Parts: sequence; C-alpha cells; structure tokens
Amino acid sequence: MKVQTDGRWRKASLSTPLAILNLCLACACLGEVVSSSFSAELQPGSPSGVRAKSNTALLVASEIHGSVRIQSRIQPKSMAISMYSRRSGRSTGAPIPSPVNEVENVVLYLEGNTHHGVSSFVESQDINTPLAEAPVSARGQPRPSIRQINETFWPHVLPITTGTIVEFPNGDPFFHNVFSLSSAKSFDLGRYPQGQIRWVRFDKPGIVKVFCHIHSHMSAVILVFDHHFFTVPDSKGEFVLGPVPPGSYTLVGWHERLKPVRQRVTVDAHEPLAVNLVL
Amino acid sequence: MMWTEPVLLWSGERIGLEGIADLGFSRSGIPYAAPSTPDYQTNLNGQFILLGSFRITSSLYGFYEGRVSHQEGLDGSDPRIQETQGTPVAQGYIRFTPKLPWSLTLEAGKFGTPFGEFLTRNYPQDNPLIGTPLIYSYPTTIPARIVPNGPEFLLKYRYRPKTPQSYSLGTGGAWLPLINYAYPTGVMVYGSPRTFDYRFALVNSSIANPLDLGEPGQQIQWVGGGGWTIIPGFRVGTSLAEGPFLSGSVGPHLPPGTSLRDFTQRAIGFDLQYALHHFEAYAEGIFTNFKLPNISQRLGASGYYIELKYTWSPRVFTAVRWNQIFFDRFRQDTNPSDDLPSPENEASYVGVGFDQNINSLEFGLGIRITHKLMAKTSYQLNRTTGGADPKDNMFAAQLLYVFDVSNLLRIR
Repeated sequence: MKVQTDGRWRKASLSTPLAILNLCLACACLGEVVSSSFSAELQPGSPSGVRAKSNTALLVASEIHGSVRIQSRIQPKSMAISMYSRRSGRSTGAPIPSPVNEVENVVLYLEGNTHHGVSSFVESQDINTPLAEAPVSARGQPRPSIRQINETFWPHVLPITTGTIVEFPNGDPFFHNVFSLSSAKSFDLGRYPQGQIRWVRFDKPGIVKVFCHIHSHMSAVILVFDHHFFTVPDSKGEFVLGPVPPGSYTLVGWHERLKPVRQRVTVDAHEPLAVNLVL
Repeated sequence: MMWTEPVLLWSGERIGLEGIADLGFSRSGIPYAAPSTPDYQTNLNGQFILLGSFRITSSLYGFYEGRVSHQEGLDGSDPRIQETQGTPVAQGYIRFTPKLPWSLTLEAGKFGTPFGEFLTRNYPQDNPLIGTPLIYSYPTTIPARIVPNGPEFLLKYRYRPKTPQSYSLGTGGAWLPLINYAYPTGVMVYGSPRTFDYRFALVNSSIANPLDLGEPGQQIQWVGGGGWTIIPGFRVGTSLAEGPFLSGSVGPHLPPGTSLRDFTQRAIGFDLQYALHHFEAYAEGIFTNFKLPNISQRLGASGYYIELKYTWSPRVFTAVRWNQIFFDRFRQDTNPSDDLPSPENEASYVGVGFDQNINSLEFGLGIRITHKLMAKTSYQLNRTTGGADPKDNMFAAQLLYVFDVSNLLRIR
C-alpha cells in the first residue's frame, strides 16, 4: 500500500495504532474485506494484538471520556470594522447560533505512537481507499457544513477526516466569497447568493483557515485529520473519544488561540479511560 | 468531574484595531514638463493606515481611521520629492443604531462622504488596481483656492505640468477633481429597508474640496444617495450633492457682492455593482457642474469608469479599469456677469473645453501571497483628446500587509 508523505509516495508505515484503526474504520464503513496481504502488513506493528483483518478489532477498543476546561485567558476576537454604510442589502437579523462558550471550539485528538516522530497531521492517506465520500454516504449522514449566517461562519471550528467534502451554504441575503490560502487546501468559491451551496473536498491533513473576501472579519478553521480519533466537547466541556484501540497515545487539546495541551494516555481493552484536560 | 463556568465567546469583542501597511513603487511620465526638466520620475511611497472600531454599548459604536504616508523620489524630479504626510484623524465618528424600522442608523463626526461608491473600497486590499478612478483623482482646472476671473484663467492651466503627486490629492488640493476622497464632518442618517438602501448627510464641505475642521470656508451642504439591490450581487445606486466648493482662504479675494455660497458644485452620480462567481464589475458615472459668478456659464463635466475583475485562482486575479472625463466647452454667450470685468479675448475660448477631455486605461495583476499579504502591479495609460499627448503613463507595483493590531498589542 502506498501513502503520500510530503508530496512523495512511499510504502505505508502501519506501525502506529492510529493508522491501523483508521484503516479498520474505513474498511468497516465501506463494508470491504481486508485482503490477506493488507493484514499481513498490519500484524507486526499492531499493538495489543489488534488485527485489522477482522472488525472484532473494534470490539476490544475503549473510549476516552472526560472533560476539558479553559483556564487560560483567551485573546478576544477583534471586532468587525465596517467603516462605511452598507450598500447591498442588510443582514438577516437572525440570532447568530453562537456557542455558549469557547470550549466548543476546542478539538481533542490523538497523536499516535510516534515511532517515526509523526504527528497526526502528517500525511498518510491511503490513495487506494477512497475515504472521501464513503464514510459519509455509506452512513447516510449529511455532509459536514460551515454555514454563513449573519456574517459569521458556523461552526467556527470543524474537525474532519481526509477525503471529507465540506459544504458552505450561504444563509445571508447577500454574497459571500469563501476562500482559503492554507497549504493544506487552497480554494476560492467565488461569490454566491443566499440559498446556494458550494463544497470543497479536503484530501490533505492539516489546518485550513477559511475566510470571506467580502467580510474580512469572518473566519473559520477546519482541522483535517488522517484518522478518526478526534472529537469536540459539548458546551459543558464533556467529551467522548473513541473507540480507541489499546495502546499509548498523546491526547491533544487544541484551541485556535491557545497553546495546545498534550497529555500521555494509555488505553486498555474494555477499560474506558477518564481524562480531564485544562487548557 | 465537570466544570461549568463558561468562557463566553466573543465577550471581549469591544475593540477592533486593524493596520494596513503598503509599500509602492511607481515610474511615470510628467506631462507638459519643461524642456530642461526630466519628463519622468520614479518614486517609492509607503503608507500606514490604522482602523479602529469600539463598541460603547450594544447600539453605540465608535470608529477611527488615521493615516501616515511618505513619498520618496528616486530620480527624475528636481528637487527630489521627500514628503511625509500625516492625517491623525482621517475619520472619527460615533455610530448609533437604534432598533428602528428601515435599519435606521445615525452617524456623527468625520466620515467618508456618502457620494459615490469607490470610497467604500479605496483601501489597497479592496482596490484591485493601484491607481484610482479618474473622476476621483484627475485634477481639473477648477482651482480650490483661487477665484478664476474668467474663462482664460481656466484655459491657461489646461497645459499645466501635472505630476503624479497632483493625482493623489488628499484634502485641500490646489486643483479639484470631480469627486475627492472626501471625509467631511457632519451628521448622516442611513439604512437599508429590504433590498433598498438610503443615506443622507449634512456636512461641512463639498465632494470636490473636503475641508478639515477648523479650516475657514466651511459651509453646510447636503449629500444624499440610495440604491436598489435588484438581485444579490447586482446593485444600482445614485448620489446627489450640492454645496460651495471654494476654500475659505479665497474669502478676501471674492468678487464684490459675492460670497462663498455663490461658488457651488452640483453633482449627480450613478453607480452599479455586479458580481457572480469569480467575476466582479463596477461602474460609476458623475455629472457635475461648478458655478462661478464671474463666468455666466456653469462649467459642467461628466465622467465615468468601468472596472472589471476576475479571480483566476485562490491567489491570482486580474483587473482592468477604463475611465473617461468630458469637459464642457465655452459657449458663445459665455460672458462675465454685468458687474464684473469681462474677459479680454472672447474668441480665444469659444468652443474650447475648460479642461482637456481625458481617458485612461489601467490594467493590473494581483497575487495573494498569504491571507494578509498581497502584491499588485499595474500599468496605466493616460490620453487626452484634442491636446498634446501628456505622456504620463505609469507603471506601479505595490506590496501590502493587513494585520490585526489589537492582537499584536494584546489589547483586550
């Protein structure tokens, strides 16, 4: 199997539990049978005897649950600067569906066993496994979206896996022009009116900062992972991450305007793990 | 364990400070330069703009804009240009948005004139080119601080040397454009009921000759406008203004029996914006005239520009702007008022425009290096009709950086 790393194709390194379970999940979602050569590659590096050949690998996985709290002072976002009177329609006046607190903009994710010093943002997408639409369509779930409403991107932070298609519906009665110049994905959706939806497929792991050409104060962040081990806490800060195969990981608490917090965790089979993070 | 105290989102959004820094390079011809002087010049110029917004209450906001710019001549000009200009308060006003029908909003202070459309996107990151529309920048023969004594005065200055500096007037320029970058002081009401928008202001100076507070010659005048967004992305609008245009310093030199209020500018403007996908189009036109009591004919001028922009990729866009300005010709019956001295040689001006018609084409390329960093380059071709070739074509390049000052300074 080949993976893309820094733009070069090389043989996949499947020694990390994240890579293994990522593939397990993908295959399970696709309903595909893992080939014998594929599983043979998995066995040597599989922690705790997890085998990707069977979906039973998922059964021995446990969840990480707990809560996250923001203790650091967050630099407030700058206020929008609109020096001139609006001359192209007005805002909806609808209430902005803002989150209760900043903790909902926290993303928790796992970094794998770093035998090779890789982080979870290092590219390791399997080109032979079209993760892109399969998990979404196979599960019958709607595509993730970032709406534009009252000159705000909603949600502000969106974690996804590589290959995911994200929709950008315009809910405002005036044009928006969504774009990004991030190295993980650069795009410009052009100007489009209320009710129209544009979409972008994210194939490369990394952080994608999204803006609007017309309204410079609008911004959003998309975190593109090459695995499924991430989650967003609820408004109370509680989260559930998993199932995660047994092994040792680094749990990362990420917030756009805070230094990431890392905590080593060891997941045992059949044993849910409770973790509290303070950012 | 669970924590319940929330960190409120956007609770700190009481202040916004944005900085825009740009560095420019230009090489241009100097029209009608004397034979002994260079007919081109190369300049470096830099500008810093600070924009601020402050939330006082949920419906009361304050806004601020300050500018400082520097121009350095590299060659060509003699003496070499070396000029720093600071405008501590280009704009400074309070905005009140009560919960009233029609999205009624009130502003008081020093703000951008509500006439026209280009002023709302004259920041370097919003203007896809480096130059500005001619109707906003071409210095006509209408003076700001001199009272013309007749048509020949205006004709005399038709071939005055124009430098690129004279195209960037700012406040109080010696020669008036049709519309200036006017930031007058006054009060304004505006709103946007449904797909319409309206604005009306009482301000202290004309759209061609903005005066700062404290400058003599300020006169109350009105500016109004409105628009209709037919479909999202397609809007048509109009603007109207009337008021005195001379600076107060000419007061002692006014013809007997006249006052500053006898020297008025009237203007009606039209504007159009259209955008779809990666294409944007802007157009703006103005019909204006200047009344000078010692010239019986109102001196009219009309001008327009059409600007097209296309974004080819997330990083690359191109733009082109076509401009034209037409000036009225002196008529046979253009005579001074009875109580003022008559021009000496009437035949010399009949049928001649009070300035040369001019057209201009500017095209350019822009590259977004990052979200905050942009590079632009453009070439501008200027031509007059019926006059000598002014040879003031201009090549320009610009690098600009937009940054969040409040984050930089850790202002909370």
